[in-house]
Amino acid sequence: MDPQTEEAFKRLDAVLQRVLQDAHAWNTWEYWLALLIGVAGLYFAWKASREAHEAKQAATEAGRTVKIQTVTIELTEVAQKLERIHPDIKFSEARDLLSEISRRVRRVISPFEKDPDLEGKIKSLREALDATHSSLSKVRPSGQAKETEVPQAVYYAIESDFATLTNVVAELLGLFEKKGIDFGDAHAGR
Amino acid sequence: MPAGNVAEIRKYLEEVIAATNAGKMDWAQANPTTFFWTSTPPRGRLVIQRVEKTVPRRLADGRMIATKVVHYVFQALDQNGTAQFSASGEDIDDLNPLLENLYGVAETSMSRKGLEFLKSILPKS
Repeated sequence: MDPQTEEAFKRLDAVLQRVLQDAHAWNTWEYWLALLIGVAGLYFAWKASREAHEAKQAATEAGRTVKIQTVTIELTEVAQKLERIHPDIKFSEARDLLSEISRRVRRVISPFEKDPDLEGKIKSLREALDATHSSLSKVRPSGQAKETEVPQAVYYAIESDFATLTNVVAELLGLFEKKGIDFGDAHAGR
Repeated sequence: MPAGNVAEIRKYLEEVIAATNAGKMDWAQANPTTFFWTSTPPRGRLVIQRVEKTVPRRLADGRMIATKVVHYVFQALDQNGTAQFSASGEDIDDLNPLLENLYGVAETSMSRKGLEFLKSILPKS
């Protein structure tokens, strides 16, 4: 055997010795300590990930509760404004009131348009708003002087549309309040 | 409203329609759906308005649809603009066709006035 081959065999033998030593490493306390640390590390990583997921879910749900409460407050204010219509209301006054109601209502209901519990009522509310706009446009005065000649014309034109709007807003308000309660109950049950 | 009063209102409305058709009452337009006539000397005003309502109606299959219903409102105002008399075709169904007729003749009266003005400003041939 040439010296180079003999050297290679010696090296191989040393490697095999080390492999055999490592194969019996489970017999040593260092092996078990390292394994324990590894498993503990895995457990804590999993636990941290789960807690982060739960915290995110809780934050989302809290945000949704706040949103429902905001919508409920906004719709209550709109319902109060709808009651401000009176027989001597002027065209400009009715137009401003309707614009404000329309803007506020459309802003708060738009995120819930696809909600299966609310979409029917939201559609009715949109239709009622459109009908009121249409009725109001039919009493746009030909001149300011002429508006005073027919003092209750605006009221007669929009009275029933406002009554419809009031009813639909009240029904929608009820649905949002119920949603808020159901949501709170589901959250408390966890 | 008592039936006797309704009959009396019908009589007055028919008189107003006849006077308008005869060109004795000139109506003015306050807005696209309201006409008014002012007495001379100005002791009061008559107002006729077309009101359109959207009401829910249930179909035979149970579905709800929105239907448009038209009625007319007639008012007699004093010189301060206070309504002394008011009649709505919504409250008194029988009156609605007559009020519709009055609205039609008031609209025609306005349109006739407009055409007369147009004729007056055109160059004479």
